[in-house]
Amino acid sequence: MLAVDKIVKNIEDKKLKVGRYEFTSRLFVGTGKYSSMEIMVDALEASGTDVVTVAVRRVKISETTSLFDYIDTKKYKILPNTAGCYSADEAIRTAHLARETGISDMIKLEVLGNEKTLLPDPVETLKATQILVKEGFTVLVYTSDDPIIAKKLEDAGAASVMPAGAPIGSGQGILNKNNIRIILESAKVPILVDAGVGTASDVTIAMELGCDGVLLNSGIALAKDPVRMAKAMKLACESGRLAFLSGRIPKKLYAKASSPEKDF
Amino acid sequence: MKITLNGELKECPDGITVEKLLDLYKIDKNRTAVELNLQVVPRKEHSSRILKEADVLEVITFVGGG
Repeated sequence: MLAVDKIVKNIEDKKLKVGRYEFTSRLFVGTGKYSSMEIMVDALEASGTDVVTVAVRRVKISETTSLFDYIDTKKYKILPNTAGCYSADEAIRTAHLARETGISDMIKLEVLGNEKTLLPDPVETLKATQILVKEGFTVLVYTSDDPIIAKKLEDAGAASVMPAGAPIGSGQGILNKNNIRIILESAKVPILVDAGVGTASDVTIAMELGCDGVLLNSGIALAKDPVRMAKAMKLACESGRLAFLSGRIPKKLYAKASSPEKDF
Repeated sequence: MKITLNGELKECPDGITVEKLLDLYKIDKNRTAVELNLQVVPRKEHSSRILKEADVLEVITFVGGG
């Protein structure tokens, strides 16, 4: 028997727990902006995700097709968002309607403060979090990368705090790694980077920092080949997670040879 | 009588219930939620809740989003 046969280590990861829900994949994927429903279906499949986000909108009277003709709710957990809300009251109203559909008590809380920047309004976000938590929602809250407000949202009972890597849809990646590090240092709930991811390496960086997951939409949906990009994001998420768990070597100024010194 | 359904003024029979109104406009009841004058109407009350003149009804569902 080869020595290698004895040393196969179990590197299975533990599941991601958000409130009372458990997920195998650490990638949460949005369902907006795809050029067709068929491409969305394939992209979701390729991403390996367990959770997809959806938005709450008025029923179009006489429309016969539904998003759920394309999304298998047995396969994916549905995470409704409060996108487009600019006050705590509006977001709470949207959350109530989302829950009443019977799809989930999870809500991706998003309260924006400005139409141009789409940056979150921290005051209204905190207010809505406090109320929705009291009402029994599992709140996954979108916020800026500010460590102080992130901690306040956690203290308010959010099941997950989701700082933006960069503005929504900007594709700029993780702009302030230091803030994400500070948030992670004291976090007691899962931290997911939500928004700003442009390409696979952005996901890897978030995961290498120690984030518990990444939520993205445009990075896949608006790529030239969304299905291929979805696969790239899946691998990036897994790679970053493995690298984080492995513990990287420290950075050094000078070289250090990998081979022993020549002795002949 | 006239009610407002998803922002549009609509004509419907007097004393119609929420459920019958959804049927009238062929709205799929699956994965939808109804709000009457800014208050959520629980699903189990759809068949008993009667609408009146000038009621404002919102019926929502899910669409693609991030």
